Order: sequence, then C-alpha cells, then structure tokens
Amino acid sequence: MQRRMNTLMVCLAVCLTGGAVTPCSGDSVSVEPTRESCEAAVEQTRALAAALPADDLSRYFAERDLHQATIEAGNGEFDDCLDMTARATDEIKERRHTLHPGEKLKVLQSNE
Amino acid sequence: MFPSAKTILLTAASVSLALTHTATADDRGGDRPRANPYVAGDMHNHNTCTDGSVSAGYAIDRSVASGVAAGGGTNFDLDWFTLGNHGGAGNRDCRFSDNLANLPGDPTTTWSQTLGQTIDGITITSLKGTPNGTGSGATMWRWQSIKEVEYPIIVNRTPKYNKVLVEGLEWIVPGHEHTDVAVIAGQNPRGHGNADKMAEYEFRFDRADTDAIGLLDGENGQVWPGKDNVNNSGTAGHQKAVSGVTWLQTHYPLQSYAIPTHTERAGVFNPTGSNGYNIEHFRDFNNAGPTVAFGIESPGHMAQGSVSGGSGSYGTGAVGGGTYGLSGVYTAKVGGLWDGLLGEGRNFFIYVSSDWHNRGAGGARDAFTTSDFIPGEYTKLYVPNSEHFRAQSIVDGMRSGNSYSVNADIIGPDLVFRARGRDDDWKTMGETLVVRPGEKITVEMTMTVPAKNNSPYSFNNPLLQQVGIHQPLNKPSLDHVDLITGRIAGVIPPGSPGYAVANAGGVAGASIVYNPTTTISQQIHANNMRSKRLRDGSTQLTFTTTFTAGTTPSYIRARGTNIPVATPNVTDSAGSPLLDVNNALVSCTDPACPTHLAAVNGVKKVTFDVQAYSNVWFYANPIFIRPEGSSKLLVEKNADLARRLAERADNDHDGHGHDHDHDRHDHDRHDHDGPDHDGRDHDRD
Repeated sequence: MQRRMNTLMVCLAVCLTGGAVTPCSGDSVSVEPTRESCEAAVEQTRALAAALPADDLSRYFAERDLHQATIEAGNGEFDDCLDMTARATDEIKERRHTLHPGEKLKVLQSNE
Repeated sequence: MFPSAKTILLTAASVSLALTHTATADDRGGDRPRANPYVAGDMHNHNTCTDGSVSAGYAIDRSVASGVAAGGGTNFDLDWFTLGNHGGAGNRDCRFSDNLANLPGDPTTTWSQTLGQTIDGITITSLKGTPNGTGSGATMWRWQSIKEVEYPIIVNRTPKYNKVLVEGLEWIVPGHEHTDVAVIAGQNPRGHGNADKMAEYEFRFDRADTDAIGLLDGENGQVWPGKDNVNNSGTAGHQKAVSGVTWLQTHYPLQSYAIPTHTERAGVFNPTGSNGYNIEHFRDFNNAGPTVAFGIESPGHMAQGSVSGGSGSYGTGAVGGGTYGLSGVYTAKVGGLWDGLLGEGRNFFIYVSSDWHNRGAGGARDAFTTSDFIPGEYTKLYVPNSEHFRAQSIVDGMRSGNSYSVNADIIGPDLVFRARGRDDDWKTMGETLVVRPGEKITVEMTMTVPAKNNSPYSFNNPLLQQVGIHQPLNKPSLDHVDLITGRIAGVIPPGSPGYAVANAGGVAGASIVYNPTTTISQQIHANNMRSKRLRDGSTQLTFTTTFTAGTTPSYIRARGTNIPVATPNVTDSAGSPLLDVNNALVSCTDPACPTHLAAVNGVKKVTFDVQAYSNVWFYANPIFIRPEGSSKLLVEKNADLARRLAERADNDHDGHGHDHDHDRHDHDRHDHDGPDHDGRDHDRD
C-alpha cells in the first residue's frame, strides 16, 4: 500500500521498549521486514495506543492504522505493515487529532 | 526549485481569443449512457483479495454504479474500470469486505472459513499451488483469485452496469516498486471468457508470488512451466522485469500494457533490493515493449497528506521527498524525468488512478477520507470514447497517448487539445505534427470546468483564501493552463552516455534536470480564455495561441490548476507546484473545517482530503512536432508498429473467418514485428 520509512520502522521495532519510543542509536540497519518484525511492531504500538484514553481521537486514528497494518501482514506485505505501524506511532507521539468541546468525529458504524 | 530559465525552441507569438468548435459529442452508438468524446476510468485499485478494505464486488459497485449505494455512500459512475489489485497472495475471502470498512453484515472473512461454500455463485474448494500459511493465515495465490474470484465477479457485474470492466493487476515488480498491468486477451465478460492470461502473467512475473506450482492440468501437470522463482530483486530482478515486459510484447502486443506506478515512492533503484526506478529502467521497459510499456502513472492515495507529508503515500525518502501538486516529481517537475523521456521522442505518457484501498479513519460509506478516494471520486483517467467502447478501446486509447488525467473534476470529459500548421491537419495528444521551420503552429484548447465535484465540503478553499480568492471546495475552478515545451534530441541507445542517470532519494531528487530545454512557454490565465456558461452550471473555456516552429523536433504538453502562480506554500514564482507538505503550513480556519484534519497546537491544517480538494491539477499528454524531412520520432515508429500489428491481426482473423469484435480475441497471437528503437531509422515523411 505504501512505503515510507521501512528502515526507520525496523529500527523503531527494535527500539520500542517498555511502552516508550526511544530513538535508535547509530546507523539504521536496512533489513528486509519479516512477519515477526511486523507483528512485534504492531503489538508494541498497540500497547502505546491502549495507554491513551478510550475516547482519545489520536488513539482511534492509530488503531485504524494498526488494523491496516495487520491487513498488510495478512497479505504478506511486511514493509507496508511497518509503514502503517510507523504512521500509528507518529499519531500517538504527535497527537495530531484532538476534539474541541462539543466536537465529534462522526463515522458510520457497521450497525448503522 | 524548478528551472525558470527559458530555452526557447518554439517562439510564443501570441495568445489570442478565438471561437472554436468542441469535439464531436454525439458520434457514438446508443449503447453508452453518455456521449462525451472521452470516457473516464480507473486502472489501479484494491479489494480484500489483497490489502483493500472492501470486497471485489463492492469496489466495482461504488466505482461504476450511479446514484447512492443501498447501504449509503455515493457511487461514482465511471465509464470503465480495470481491477488492478496487487500480485502475491491474500488470506481474506474477497467476496467479503473487511471490518475496517464498517459495512453492515459484511465482516472480515478468511478463506479458511469459506472453502467449499458457494457464495455469490462462486465456489472455492481448495487453495491451489504451494501451500502458504495455515488456519486464518492460509492464503490464496493471486493467480487463483484473479482467475477464480475476481474475473467471475467482473463477469457477474458487467451486464448489471453495462460498463467496461477489466481484470488487471498491480504487478509487484522484481527489483522494483509496482506496475499496473492488464492482459485483456481472453477476457470477454459479456460472453464469459477468462482471465487466464492475466493470471499466468501474475504467476510468472510477480515477485510476491513465490508459488512454485501454479495451475495444474487434469493430469497434475504444470500448465505454466518454467517460472523463474529466483531472480526477484536488484539488478537480476530488473532483468526478470524486462523479461516480463518482453513476454507481453511478444504474446500480447496490442492486448496488454505495463505502466509503472507511484514510481518515486520507493526511492531510487537499489541494485541489491527492490526499490524504485531510475530513468534507464523506464527506457529498458519501453525498448522491450514499445507497444505495451508506454508510460507511467502518478500516485494515488491522494488524501494521505498530513502535517509531515504523506500525500500519495510518499514519504520523505521518495524521489523528490513527497508529492508536488499531488503528482510525483518525475511528472510534476518541468524538465524532470518525464521530460527526459519525451526529449527522446519516446511514446511515454502519463496516467492517473485512485490506488483505492480504504478511507483511513472513515468507513467505506463515510464522505470524508484520510487515505484514499474511491475510483471515480477524485481521479479520472480519460481515454477516447468510441462507438463500441470495449476493453480494447481502453488499451488502444492509453497506448495512443490521446488521454489526460484529472483530479477533483477540475475539467470534464470533453478536452480538446490540438495543434496544426498552415493546413487543417489537426494533431492531438500522442500524435505528431510535421511542419516547416518558421511555420506558424496554432494550438487550441477547449475544456469544460464542471459545476461541481465530489467534495463534501462547501467552505472556501483555504489555500486560495491566502491570496484573497473565495472558492468553495466543491466547486471546481481553473486559474490557468501551462503550455510546456521541450526539445527532442533523439533516442539515447542503451549503454550510451545519458541513458542511465544518477538518481537521488528525498528532496535532492527534485533537483535533477533530465531535459534542460523544457520550459513553461506560455501560461494562459482563465481570464484570458473565452468563457461560456453552460446550462448545467459548468463553464466552457477556450483559447487559441500560436507558436513558431523551430528547426528541431519538439513537443507541447499541458497542465492546468486552480492555484495561481506564487501562491504561498503551494506554487513557486513560475507556477510550478511546491512540495505538498508545505500545504499543511496553511491553517483551515473555517468553522466547517472537519474534525479529522491534522492539527498543530490545536489548529487544523490543510491536510488529507481537504488538501486534495484544495490543490488541484490536470495533465494532458504531449503533441509532438517535427520539421518536414526529418526522421520519424520513436513515438511515430511505435504507433506505426501498433498499426502494422493491428492490420496483421485483422488479416489473420479474416483468413480464419473470424469476426472483428476484439472483445472476442481470446486466443494467443505471436507477432514477430519487432521494436525499432535504435534511433537510426531513416523513415522520412
């Protein structure tokens, strides 16, 4: 689907520890992504998202990206999986989405 | 960022207003709902057979149906649709959507749950080929889903919509990023037919398809033997990719295409991996497949741009460091890679498609998107209409170069872009005008700016607000058209200096000039065009201008935009698009600015779909020009080659008593009319 920063994400997958994102030290290692590196990155980013309040809009955005990451993994596209995970990580770090008082993101649910 | 020095090869003599007639609009039969000179389609989109969010059938329904979908959501009424899904394998049953789409009663379903069941008239009893994954992770190789799932769905949908539906592929290319491919041979959805040749191509040449078995015959023999399952990356992978293009050229020279897509995204070519393309790789493809590898596609994913970039799914490592006016730098840069190829006189054209996967934070029925648009919603690839428009018409139209690419309906289906010399022999996109040096060349353009597009937003365009223009996002507008000219120096033979050009990832890649003679020769503001308000609220714009023919071959291409020259954070002083991440420096302050926009310090920025509807462009393919008595250009030779191949095919059919309905050309052809691309041809007019 997309390929933005594979090397960075392999780095992030390795460096995500204890629920915190820490920068990699030294040069990034260009490694072909695998199912294992993808799943590890998704799980760790999912934990970061879960630490946010359930109604946090950035958490919602991040979890949508993580869902797509698992789709990419199911399709054997592990580089795209890592890219989507990176996007989710960025959303959690930067908190680009917040709701102003009275504001709501309206998304049609499957029961609507 | 872009060169502003003008190397004049054609002298802009005047920009004048003139009445013109529009292209014939009523010259097709009654089997099509509309009678426009061009028809809109999409050739690159995804469903749950790979990494899309909706079922294969739902994707088709929303793209080609009209009105509102039964469960909600606008349909986009495309005239033609090529299902262009990844190669490789997928674990989801693509007769179902994914939970991500939030569609009622349509949950994520894997092949492991449905084997043996008949669903939508299709029964899958086993996952064929080399076993790949277990349980819910068990995958179906794409050759099987092309042949046994997607194509049967196309057969089912075709009579329902009376649209042209084609089974294609987004080829995951050995040694490279991706390429849109279609092999239409055998496909005849109205009479059923099959997509076996499309499936065979995917099996043989897709680097993500590592199945070693493929289709078996009744005696368990391999139907497609001899697959190279080794050389899938780097330089060896590129050679396999060239072999794939050669295979298309050899077997289906008029019934296939191979169009590299989002070509800047994965950075530069990596001789030991699978990344992007450099100019020499496109040259290799065009040399190997002169009638099948005739262009590149701009990125889709038009609504992915956030405050750190990402539109087109391009990150900072992409060649160019991101998109420019929602296009890649290879096509957006004046004098860039595309101009380098046109500067050889190659038949190399550009196309656009949606690359539809999902709507990001939205479900499939929501009006907003933070990722992709549904085919027909935002991007439209226009190819010529014809009386009996069919799959072959799509391929023929694309190959001819007589096509144009439109975002956000900035113009409609009736573009006239043509040029003539002193006689009335008009030439349009993809064609070559032969003139005497010094002769006056008249260029005419007519286009219709529709009354509305598919934007759900009626607040004013925040990028235009900066310069005092108040234009609702759901009402298309045209600021100006650029006529871009470049000199043609001739074909560079493989191995010669300049054939391979050092490339660079990131913004450094935007500095590479491939054709220094390219320039914006004329910029025609919409205020200087003749304007006619039409009854449906749309506006027809027309201009005529002239150039003076030079002594060397050249080309004229066109692009248009809603963005004025030197709009802060959007265009430079020449009017070329800046890196799109700059758009996000502009705030969206209207009370109606939607909740999903990315914010900085709580202030919403021009991102996602609002960015896409704010920064709008169209691109028209070039008209070539050469002096009388000069050698034919490669674009002419390859068009001649296509004509010879078509004549031979027709003669073969006549000899065998077949009719002329190309929809029924479902057998192999082995033409041996080879390419002629050494640039030394002395075929003169």
